[in-house]
Amino acid sequence: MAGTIRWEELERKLETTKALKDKLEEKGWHGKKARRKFVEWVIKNLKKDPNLWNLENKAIPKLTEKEDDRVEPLKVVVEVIKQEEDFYGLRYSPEEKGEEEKTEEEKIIELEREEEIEGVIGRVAITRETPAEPFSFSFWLKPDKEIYVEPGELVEVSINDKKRQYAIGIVEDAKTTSEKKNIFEHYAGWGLGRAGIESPTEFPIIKHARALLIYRNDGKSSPFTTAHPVYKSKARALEEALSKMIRNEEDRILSGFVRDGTGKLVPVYGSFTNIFGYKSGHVNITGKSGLAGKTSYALFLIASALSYSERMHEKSNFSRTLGIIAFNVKERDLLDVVDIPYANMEEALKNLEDEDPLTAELWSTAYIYGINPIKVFGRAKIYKPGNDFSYGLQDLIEMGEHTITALFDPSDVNEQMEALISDICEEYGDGKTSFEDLIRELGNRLSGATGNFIPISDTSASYHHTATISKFLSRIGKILRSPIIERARPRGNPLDVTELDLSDLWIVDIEPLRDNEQRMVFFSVLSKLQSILMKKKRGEQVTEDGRSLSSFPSRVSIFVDELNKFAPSGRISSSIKQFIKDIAARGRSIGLTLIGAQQFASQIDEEILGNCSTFLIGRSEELETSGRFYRRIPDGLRKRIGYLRQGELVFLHDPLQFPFVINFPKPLHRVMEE
Amino acid sequence: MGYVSKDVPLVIMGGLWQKEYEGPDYGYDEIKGIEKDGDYEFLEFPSKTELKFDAFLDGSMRLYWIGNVAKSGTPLFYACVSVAVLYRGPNKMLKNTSYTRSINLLIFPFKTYEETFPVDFGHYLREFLRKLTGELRAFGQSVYTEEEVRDTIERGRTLESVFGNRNVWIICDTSFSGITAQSGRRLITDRELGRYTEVKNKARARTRHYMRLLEFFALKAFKERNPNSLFMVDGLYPEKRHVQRPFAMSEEDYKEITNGVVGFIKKPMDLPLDDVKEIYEFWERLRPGKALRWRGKLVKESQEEENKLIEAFDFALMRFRHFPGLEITPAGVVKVQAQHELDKEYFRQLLSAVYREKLPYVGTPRRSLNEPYPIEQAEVVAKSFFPSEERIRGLLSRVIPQVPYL
Repeated sequence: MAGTIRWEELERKLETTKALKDKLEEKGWHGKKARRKFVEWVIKNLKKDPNLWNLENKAIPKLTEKEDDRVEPLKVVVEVIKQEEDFYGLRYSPEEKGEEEKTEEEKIIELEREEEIEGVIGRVAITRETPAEPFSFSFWLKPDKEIYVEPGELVEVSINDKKRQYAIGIVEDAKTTSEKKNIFEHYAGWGLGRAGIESPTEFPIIKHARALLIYRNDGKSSPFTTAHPVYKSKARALEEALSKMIRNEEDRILSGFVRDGTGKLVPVYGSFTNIFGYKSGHVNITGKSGLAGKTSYALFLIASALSYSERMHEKSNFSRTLGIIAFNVKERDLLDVVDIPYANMEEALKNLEDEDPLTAELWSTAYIYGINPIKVFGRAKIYKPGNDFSYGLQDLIEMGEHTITALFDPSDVNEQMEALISDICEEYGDGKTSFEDLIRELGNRLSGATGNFIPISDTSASYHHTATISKFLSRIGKILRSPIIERARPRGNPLDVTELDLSDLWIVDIEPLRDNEQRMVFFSVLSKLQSILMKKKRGEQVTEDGRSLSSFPSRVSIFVDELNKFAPSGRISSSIKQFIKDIAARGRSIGLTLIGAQQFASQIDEEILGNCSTFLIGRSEELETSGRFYRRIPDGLRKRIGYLRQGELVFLHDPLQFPFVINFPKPLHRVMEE
Repeated sequence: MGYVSKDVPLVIMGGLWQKEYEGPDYGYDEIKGIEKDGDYEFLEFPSKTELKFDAFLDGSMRLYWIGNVAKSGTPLFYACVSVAVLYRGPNKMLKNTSYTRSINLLIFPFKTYEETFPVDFGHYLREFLRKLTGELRAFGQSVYTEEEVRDTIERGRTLESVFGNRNVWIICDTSFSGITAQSGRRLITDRELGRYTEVKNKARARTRHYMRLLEFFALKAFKERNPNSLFMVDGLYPEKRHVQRPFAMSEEDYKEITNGVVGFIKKPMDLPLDDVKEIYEFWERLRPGKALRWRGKLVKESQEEENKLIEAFDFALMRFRHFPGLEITPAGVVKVQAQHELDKEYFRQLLSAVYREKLPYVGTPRRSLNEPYPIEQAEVVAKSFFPSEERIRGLLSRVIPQVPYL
């Protein structure tokens, strides 16, 4: 039976066998990429020991003992190979050389293979320099080149194999070192710098890492006392550890994925009540534009949250329902989410498998966990300025004087101006005065003024300086040249957020608007939501004007990109910044939360950041990550932020205690664009 | 007996233990009696070769003075010997192998002592040995006297049946030379019993001899499983005259085992040149890619017949590492010893393979010119198998019997 082994043919066969595909899907390896990774692992091990008999009778039973998820797919692999008459050239023989007959190389390879199957990658190292602590430990790795760990990766420590006691650690920092004490010693060791010559012997390089202990299933918090074996993490243990961090199953909201040591995706949950209130709230996403995938993640989180809300709705658990209003602030970032050319997820996944296997794998796993982006984005409502929403003077007055103030440049708004706007609201909130009427009225009063101070109406008791009124008129003239302001009519067609339904996604396009208009829209929406949600929290089911709130979600989240525009760091003060700070501080208690995104966290007001319970950090420059905000992240992981790949973010979430590097899928409409 | 109190033990354990020797530092001494056979020649070897060494062997030893024996004050020594075989796989990484071994020796000129003080002390000494071996065995050690080792070999078995065990202890008698066959040549006379340095030097030589045998044991075991491997040993190439009998090997067996074995002598003392001036000029000629080759032979002098050729080797001198300015000195010059009558082209390739080992340099500065890195690592591994001084002190203080002689 022995002959040339047809590796390529075997690999192709395994990748395309439906039975294996089904078994892998069943065991949690979704998509082509995961399948390919599994097949590569099988081929790698078969290359080390091309005896199928050993796989069937040694490796599989050993993995079975460890309840490894790969057992069932491996059995299918054996069946597939056996169907071929010559077993693709693989040996199938129980006869093995006795220990004595094996050459040293064979013995060493055999030993390595045994270890490989068992999956031990290293050992806990308790030394004077690296003592184990209750929540951290150091470990070294086997010298094999293919074995390595990265900061943020999860590893498993077997505390007691028989009792199945284990711990999960998150790699904080990883290093390699050698016996050479310094660069000069190394340089001298290479023949005083003879870099061009290849050395026949490699210096022994020790790979070692420090990990934070995030979970122990024996419940202990004492430092390790033994050189326990370290494994690549396994999905089952990871799932257990991660889900235990958010004990209430109903509170779990899928926030991303980590990969276990076999490449299998494991869900990372966030706590609904910690993201969307009432315990805590607000999400902040930061990272370099174009590389971090801030908007992509926000869309994934939106899809996950609204799918969750829908499930809660189906269960009639209305207190956990959600609606999201997303502001589109640049290009067509959010407007295209509705343009998904697939009728349903099955069709999308089938097409994606070839075009983008990684995205397919991530979405197909997310789909299994109940996320349906096609459904969520398919029913999103898009509001465009002018056509879909506009404001007359009466609309703005009803929303409160701060809404009008938001239309002015913050530098123009002083105490006198605020007092004037306040009086205008009081005097002209009559339901019929338009902006043109107001301008005419104020103009007339100015022209007829005999002194420096004049009242703004016949009934008004307060007087304003003519210069303030002139300034108001001069600025409002510019403000009114806007597609969303009704000049001649007292009322426009304002966004009526009372209409927001359970699990709704509204996308409000404010990109064509000027900064002051954007601020006004943002402010008007938030102030209205604030008043509705306060009523909801109090249990009131109707608005002041008698409209029902029964189908209004119990929580609303606002997604705003370029948050720094609205709430910049530093001393710059504005009514909108103050309002956002207020929402950040108190919004969570009524269920009004923010999902904010920006390039640099350092550009956001610290108070707002301080009130966020969840942070997602994408690729950023070291200059940024050396700032105070990032100090909560362990050194090694912080350095990794500079090298995060697309689709990777560092996830910091209060209930999880430790930062994780998570994966998330590209939005479906983006895959098509590419 | 005067002021000497009763119950003074035969062996007075030294409260102040001391390590007498650790090494060897620079390979072994040259083979005694080797002669240049024919003329030398300069040989060029290629800069690249397909040959590469698969395994490396080095041995190490430690000698401790542990006490004095009554009356003559003759020192009693303990030695540990360890050899390591490192395997280098295709990934260029060195790995320890199962052939790495260590043994323990307790060394004293028992016979001379017994003969010098025949009346009571023979009895005390035998009692001492009996109790000592009993105690060691009680601690799970495999104990052999040299007499037992000799018997083993004479009964047709080999040293492998001794070295193959774990926790081996050999009680060595340095009264006579030779361990596997009693030569009858006395090493320590009654007059020398009290001469510390004499006794120590003999103990060190005996330890070194055991180290060579243990090295060959490991080499043989490895080569039997990996016959085609290229093997570098630190120091001298194993000599047939030393190993043939203890390992019950035929001429063919010896050739087979030593096929592909190269001895690497870091500090060559024995050069094929007699004229001092010639030697000084000669260093300069050892440039990269050049070696000096000659044949060395070992003969047994005989009055009745012509001198009998015992062994012959191919030797070569090469500058292993080059440091600017040191080209006219012997710095970095090493000696390579290989099986005799190797094909010239193969020998060139072999030299090239040796030369490749110049990288990486070793960490110890004083060895940086002439030690291959894998050999240095083998030594590190071998030394790591030495029992700690505390452990040996504790064990010996429990097993050395208290035999009163007064």
